[in-house]
Amino acid sequence: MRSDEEIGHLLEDWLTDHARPMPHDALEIALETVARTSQQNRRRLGPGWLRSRPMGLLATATVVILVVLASKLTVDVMGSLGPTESASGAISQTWDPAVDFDVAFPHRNPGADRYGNTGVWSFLRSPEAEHNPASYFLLTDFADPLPTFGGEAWYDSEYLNLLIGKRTADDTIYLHPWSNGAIRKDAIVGWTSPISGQITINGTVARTQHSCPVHAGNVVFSVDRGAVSLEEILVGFAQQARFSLTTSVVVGESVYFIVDADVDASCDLTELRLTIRHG
Amino acid sequence: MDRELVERAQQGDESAYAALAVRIADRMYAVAHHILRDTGRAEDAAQQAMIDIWRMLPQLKDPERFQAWAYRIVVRAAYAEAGRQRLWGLRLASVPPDRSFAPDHAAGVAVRDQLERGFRRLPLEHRVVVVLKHFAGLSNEEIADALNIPEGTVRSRLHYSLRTLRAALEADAR
Repeated sequence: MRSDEEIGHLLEDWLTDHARPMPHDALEIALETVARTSQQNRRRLGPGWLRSRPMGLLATATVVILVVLASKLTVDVMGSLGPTESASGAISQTWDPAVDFDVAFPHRNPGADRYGNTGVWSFLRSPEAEHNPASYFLLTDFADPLPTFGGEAWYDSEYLNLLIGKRTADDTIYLHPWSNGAIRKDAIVGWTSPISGQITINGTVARTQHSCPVHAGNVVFSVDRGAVSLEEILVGFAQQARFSLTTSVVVGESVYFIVDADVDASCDLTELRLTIRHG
Repeated sequence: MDRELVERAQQGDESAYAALAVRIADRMYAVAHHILRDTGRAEDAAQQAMIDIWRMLPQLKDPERFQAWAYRIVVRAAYAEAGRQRLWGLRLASVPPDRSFAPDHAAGVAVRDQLERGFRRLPLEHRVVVVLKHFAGLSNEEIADALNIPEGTVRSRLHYSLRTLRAALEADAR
């Protein structure tokens, strides 16, 4: 029987692991509202108040945020809440694979997005570690739950642990690549654009398998537009990294989020939190 | 938390509040998210809390207590948001994870899933106390103060919550 203290420690770890930073646009909206809001018990300063200051609230917040984000991409030890993502403009459409995962039921691959566009999300594997979209395979097996994973997942029955899935009520997509040491098969989430224009991609990639008995190796996380690499991050065991980038796409063009086992695929379950914004 | 920043923000210094907001935003959001278990509603609650903190800062008597006071405001915002919450049908996995597979991520994942299930079963009031105690790191006295409830009630809610979570962990272990 577990003691209160032991359960308390488990809870602390679990709550810390599941804590996520406030989305940047949400903070910006709050600060915009704050800039128009008088404090209680304080004289209302009028509409010119913000503009009359040498540095207004939003400008100051932006400076603070930019300083925090000076490196844009940071790798830190799991559990800490590091710097937030770079600021984005007004939002007209946002895609999140974890949100859209359940949009189409029964599940389809490729799957739809919440706006009703079909074929937006693909759950794929590569035949080898080479990034060549023409060779990627759609995963055709689906289970809810997949016993090896504990959630609903697309997987490949030929390659143990190669999966892309989501756990109940979680807002994270999990990817697990495959490797036998000589051949590596990447787990890939593909987003095929239903729009033309500039998109902002923000996210976190994390390795959170604290239960692993050994210190596991790295994975390589990549963001590709087609076969063009936009970002590549080496993510060590129990580490997380943030990514933030802007690129332009046309309708039908695909962006791929790829987890490569690097050397071995032991303990390579990788969490992907991702938003793609347009507008 | 930087006392000087809090005091300057209390005086209406917007640059001080911007710096303060950036520092506390992630913690405020995480607390709201843990309580509400919904990303969109957590965003709404955290945004409202950031605005309320600014509005009410001049009323804070002791700047040293800023953090506990801020948690009180975000919890209040989360309660308000929960009041507007629709009843969502949770689609729970019908079969528990099979720990005989996938040795690289079995045990820890199983415990996390059990905790998640147990945590979701807690009534909102108990979840709030658990989050303030085990995530925000507040003392029982600070939680009582933040929620405006007796310290004995905090202890009993924690006791009940741990009992529920223990039952969830042990039920799945059998």
